[in-house]
Amino acid sequence: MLRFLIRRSIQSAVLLLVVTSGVFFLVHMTPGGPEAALLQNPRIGPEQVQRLRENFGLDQPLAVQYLKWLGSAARLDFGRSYFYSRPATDVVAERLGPTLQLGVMSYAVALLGVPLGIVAGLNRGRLADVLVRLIATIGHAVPTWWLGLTSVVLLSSLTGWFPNGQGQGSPGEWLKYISLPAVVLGLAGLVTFARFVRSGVLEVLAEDYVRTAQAKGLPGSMVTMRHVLRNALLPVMTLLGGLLPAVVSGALVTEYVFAWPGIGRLFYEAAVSRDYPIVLAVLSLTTFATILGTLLADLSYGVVDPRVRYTW
Amino acid sequence: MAGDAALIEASLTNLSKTLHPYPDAASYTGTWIDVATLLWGGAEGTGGLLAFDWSTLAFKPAMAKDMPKVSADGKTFTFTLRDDLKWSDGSPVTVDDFQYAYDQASREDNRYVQLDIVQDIATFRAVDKSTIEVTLREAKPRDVALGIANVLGPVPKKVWEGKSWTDTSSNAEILTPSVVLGPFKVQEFKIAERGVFLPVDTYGGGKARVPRVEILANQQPTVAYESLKSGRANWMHPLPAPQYADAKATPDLDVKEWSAANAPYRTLEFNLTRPFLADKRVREALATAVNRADLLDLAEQGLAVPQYSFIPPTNQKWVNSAVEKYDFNLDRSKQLLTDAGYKVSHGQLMGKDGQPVKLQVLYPTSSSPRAKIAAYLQQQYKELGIEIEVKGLDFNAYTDLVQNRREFDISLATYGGGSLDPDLGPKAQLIQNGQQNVTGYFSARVDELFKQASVELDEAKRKQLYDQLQVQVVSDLPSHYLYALKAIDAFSKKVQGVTPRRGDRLDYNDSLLSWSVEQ
Repeated sequence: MLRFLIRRSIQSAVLLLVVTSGVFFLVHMTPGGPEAALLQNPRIGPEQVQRLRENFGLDQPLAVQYLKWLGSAARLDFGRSYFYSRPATDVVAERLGPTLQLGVMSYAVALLGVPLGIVAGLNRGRLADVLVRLIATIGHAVPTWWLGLTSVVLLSSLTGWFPNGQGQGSPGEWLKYISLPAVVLGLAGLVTFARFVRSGVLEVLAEDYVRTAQAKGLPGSMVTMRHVLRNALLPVMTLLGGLLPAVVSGALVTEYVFAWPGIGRLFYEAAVSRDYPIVLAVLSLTTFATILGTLLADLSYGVVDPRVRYTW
Repeated sequence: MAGDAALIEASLTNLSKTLHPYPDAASYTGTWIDVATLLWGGAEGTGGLLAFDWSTLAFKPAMAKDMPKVSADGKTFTFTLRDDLKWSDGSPVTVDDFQYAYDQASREDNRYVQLDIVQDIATFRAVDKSTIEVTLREAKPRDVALGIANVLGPVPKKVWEGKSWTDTSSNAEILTPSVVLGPFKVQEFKIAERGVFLPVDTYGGGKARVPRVEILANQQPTVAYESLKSGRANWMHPLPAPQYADAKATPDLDVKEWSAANAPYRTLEFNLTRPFLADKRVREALATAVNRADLLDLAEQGLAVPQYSFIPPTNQKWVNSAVEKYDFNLDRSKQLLTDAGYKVSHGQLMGKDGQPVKLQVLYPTSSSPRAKIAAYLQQQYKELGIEIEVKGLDFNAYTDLVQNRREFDISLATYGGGSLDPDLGPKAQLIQNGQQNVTGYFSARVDELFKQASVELDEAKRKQLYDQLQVQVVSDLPSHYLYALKAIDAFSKKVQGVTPRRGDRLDYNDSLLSWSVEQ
């Protein structure tokens, strides 16, 4: 396992370098630099634009900019935001808290899909199954932005039952603020988990070893817990691997609709205004989280599935 | 009971990224003006010796006791400071605070956005404890000169001295100023969430009637509007056009709409370096194929007024109405193209190279009205046999392509806002090598007239020069001016004391001092 870890860590480091470097060049090649929008102001002349470019370090050759950025990024210094005039890591760190809160809560909502999928799978064709499939179909069909907008207009603006924006005050207040965006954001995951788990359960129920267990006279609950669920939930590990990047990268649409001050919206604003330090800081963080999440998922496979462990 | 509820604005954007009284170009935004007007006072956030009165469109004394004495050569302006001015901590505002602001703002490395204007000042000095003398490098027309002499407001020297002017990590005052000049001070300020501001008792213009101003940041437009309707917010600035009709029909809402003298306006910019568009007859054909009345209904829901020159019709101080209007006339458009030597074959206008004429219309996707204008042009120019490729780009990419690379045929531009004086706005679009001259337009006469107008001290003669300029530019047709946009804000009817004047922002008038909100 140690050899596996070392090999994967080296691969991950190389992958991180390749992806972030590619992103650096892509971002800088996007038409219209950070100063482009400023040209709309008649007060801002070419001299001021040039001063800004020098101040941002954009007057240097791209290769020099890249080497400087790489050296700084290795020390977790992603430079100063052009528009916030503060270190990009500070700005991103400020938004990480709200994003983590929303990400974790929405995943808690999404994980409710696991028991729903189990119930549906074990009750195929019955009312519970029909209801879960109905929820899944509606959940897939309704776009997040529409659901978010409708719920915030109905449940926040018109009725005032839920506040809009980030939570302030006591844990109870916080829960009121986060409930609506977490449910809206988590619904897509809930539906995915429910469908995934339901199919897994149905598939395992048809396996010979389950029939054998039943033929041996084992109690139904034991067959379900030991043989059905343990095997049916294995594929869910793949989905959990995506948890980490999803939690840290934020959700643009949900954050926008709910005025949630998270990383998704920060990234969008930075991309639109070409605030390269923030764009690169967020993308580096997301890339790192994706690589780490995948690594953890691979490791967890080995823990829960002996067949995978033997391949190390 | 009037005057004892908070004013709550549902804002569609983030709050300002800085609260610095002298922002750099990257930080100088509409959201900076929003909060700086509250914290630093005066229009555009810089509490000055003078204030621009948007009723009379003239300067009036603010922190100065009277209008300044002007030297015989028109270069030196002597102001006497009022003796009752106080910072938010109750300490007096002194001439040293002005001097300190000038010393800092005039340094290139401090990157003040209006440094070019500050650099028009030759000397700025505190003569005694109540007198400030500002000498310009050269005499300028009255309003331009007053604008330059008044460009600087004070900064609390005792608080800022010894701290960095630009580095947020070593000067907390930049993001959370503890001592301010305006009618409100910061209670809470989270850029992506909300800002809360409380009245300052010592403000020289009087105490605000509202006990608190709250700005809710980053509200999605539908959500912001529903918040306004439900009473969770009581001000929406600006009201997006799609919500206008509903807001007008909602009894609890008060929609303020007005035509500002410095209204933003939309225009078609032609790339004169393209051979097809270099011909004036072609540009005229493209202009007369546009029906302004239809277009402003289609793209702006009627919330605009036709415009015919580079000065909006609402800027009555400088506009010349006697210019060519290029009214809609499709037959004339077709005739002009024929006169220019172009013929239609199988429904397509053929170029002189024998190939069908194709034009590219560029617009920024952040502006949905401009997307509608582009679609309208596509339809209208099809009548002339011209194939139009509509290309929407994100704002920076659009600006880069139009302003830096000049790779476009027709650009859908919006200008306006800011100063009323033509020398400070449209000039940059029209003179050779002007910062915003994207069309490639050059007229020696126009350059000369702008030059004369920028130094002509007689107001009547200056008006004549700008009248001639408008006739010449409109005749040359580097751009086709479409219409000036109306300003629209929506309020709960509980908000009282709001009076639109002739500026494009309501808070320019008195920094919200006269506003009150019923419980």
